[in-house]
Amino acid sequence: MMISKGHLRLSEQFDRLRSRGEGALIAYITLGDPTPAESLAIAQTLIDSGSVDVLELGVPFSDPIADGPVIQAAVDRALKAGMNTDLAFDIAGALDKKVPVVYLTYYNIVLQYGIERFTESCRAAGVSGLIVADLPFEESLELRAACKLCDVDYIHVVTPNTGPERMRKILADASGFVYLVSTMGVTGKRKTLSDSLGEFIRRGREAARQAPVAVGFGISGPDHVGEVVGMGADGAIVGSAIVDLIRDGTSAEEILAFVKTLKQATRPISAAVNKT
Amino acid sequence: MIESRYGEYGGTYVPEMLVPALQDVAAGYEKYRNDPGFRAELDDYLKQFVGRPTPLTLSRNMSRKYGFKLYLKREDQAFTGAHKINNTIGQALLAKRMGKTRLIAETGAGQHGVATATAARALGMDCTIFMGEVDIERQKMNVFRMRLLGAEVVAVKNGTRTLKDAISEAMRSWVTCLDDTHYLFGTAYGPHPFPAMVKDFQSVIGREARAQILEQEGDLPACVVACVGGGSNAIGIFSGFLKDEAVRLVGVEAGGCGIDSGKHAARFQGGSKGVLHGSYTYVLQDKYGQISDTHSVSAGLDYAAVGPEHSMLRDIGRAEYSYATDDEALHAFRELGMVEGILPALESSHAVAWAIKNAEELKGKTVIVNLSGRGDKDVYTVAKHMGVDI
Repeated sequence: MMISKGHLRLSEQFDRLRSRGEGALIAYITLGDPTPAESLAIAQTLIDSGSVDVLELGVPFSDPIADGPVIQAAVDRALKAGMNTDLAFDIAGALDKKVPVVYLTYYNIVLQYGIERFTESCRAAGVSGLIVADLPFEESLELRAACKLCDVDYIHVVTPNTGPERMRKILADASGFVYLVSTMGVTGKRKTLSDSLGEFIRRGREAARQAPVAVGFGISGPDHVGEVVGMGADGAIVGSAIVDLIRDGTSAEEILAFVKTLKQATRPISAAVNKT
Repeated sequence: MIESRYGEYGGTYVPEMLVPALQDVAAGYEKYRNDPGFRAELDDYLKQFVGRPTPLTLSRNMSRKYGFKLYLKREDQAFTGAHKINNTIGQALLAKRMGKTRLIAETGAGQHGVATATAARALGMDCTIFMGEVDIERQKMNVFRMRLLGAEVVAVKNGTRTLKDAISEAMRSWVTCLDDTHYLFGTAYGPHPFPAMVKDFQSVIGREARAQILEQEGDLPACVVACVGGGSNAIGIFSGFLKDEAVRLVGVEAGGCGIDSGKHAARFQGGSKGVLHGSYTYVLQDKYGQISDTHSVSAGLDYAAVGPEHSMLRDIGRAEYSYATDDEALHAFRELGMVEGILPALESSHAVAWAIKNAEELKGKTVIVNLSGRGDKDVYTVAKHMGVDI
């Protein structure tokens, strides 16, 4: 495994984008999909594209209850191809991380690896942040402490039904960015975004104070990216739409062309152009 | 407050979206669980609709043949044919009081699905059941029963297309309809408050059994045996005897094709501590935490994790956990039929099998086996194993 240099901080990346008046494009892929080697190549391609500001890598778990069919199928492909947590750290370590890389996984994966071993491996492999889809605030104390020790941002998730008091409690120690789930449901592409999303983003921003907020779930294309950035989010997370392209064996050029359109939508000028 | 942990086990390992929903369920349960009106309504349904109390039958022929006094707690005589209805009526009544109009549930063999559909109909609620495509194929009769009761049955086509995936899909669906829908979880498993609440609604088995054995035998039994899938029938009957330290409590898991074969669902034999579907407990998994495929001839025991309270009872030595293989369970199924005239569910057959296997040790003692369900649903499976075409 390559020993990576000190990893890029999420806060610095968001600051840089803010100073340019841009939102962050956060692209998700499932590690090991369709194979570990190919996912390493895809991850590096996305980083090198210049369009992706944060790369979110899914570390597969066999029973992903927060994910819709597209990512479930990607996880199945990855596990069939022999993906595992050791390989996930090998891949993260081998990447030339010009942008911050974060992991998304489920708690049993962290638990079986060992909480401290997992966060130390994140640091060693240069993984900047960690999202654990099925670990609510109340159960996360030990992992949050381990993340702090390793200088890995523990990324909190809040949802439209997270009440105001609970949101303040959760986001009191927000770091890296805050993951706002756009809608009640699972990951996957959607035609339209929720009507109340603007209000939710406003609530999230307020509770997150200085921490950036990024919106995920159902962000299918440039229109949605432009919409959420226009509503005041600091970033947009696109997962299933990219995983769909990988599933279909889409060429690297076409994937790059797609993420380029996503990135353009995070820039204020494109928002202005879109409106005219 | 109801405890969310059993020692180190249990907890609430779910996506944030489910947390407020589970808090609502916990609050509703907290509000009504000791409410005299709620309890009276539940008792009335259990008596008039479910047909409780179920008998505690002295199994005369088996006792003579095997040399110990075998009593059977007859949950097979509860309406719809298994103990599942105790919990579905309880949760459905609670959901109704909480203003919900629709029930969703997972099911493996279909017993919990049928019991949920029944409760929904009885209380005038809508019902959707999630069931793996493989299980739908295996349990066509129960699928049709659910449809006859007006339930929508959704085929779950992802993962292993069995119970595990049906639970995942029910959880995924629940978050999209929290306002009007209660997720009626079927066993003493999952995120808090389900393990505590399901135990509560199943504890009627243990209360009855304890009173009945004292009345019929004048003494407590030496041993209480139950099969353990998620563990709701077991925790239900154990709960009546937990404080009677002299009563030996035995849970019997599914040994499938044998522990060494790897094709089984005996979490306490091949499992380790981990998290699945909201709970920290013993789980069958690989070293990276990927959940293993399980196997049992009985769909109701075919699940990779065990109820968190069982993990604690095992740790503190209050209960012990063994297993019976598919072959042993099939043998017990036929034996109880031929000797006593009772066809038990293949799940319950595992508990019967343990008692038969340990007859020598049990000699002269009084034993209660929880006959959690009846075997009608399993006759096709048994025929297949016997090489008989029906």
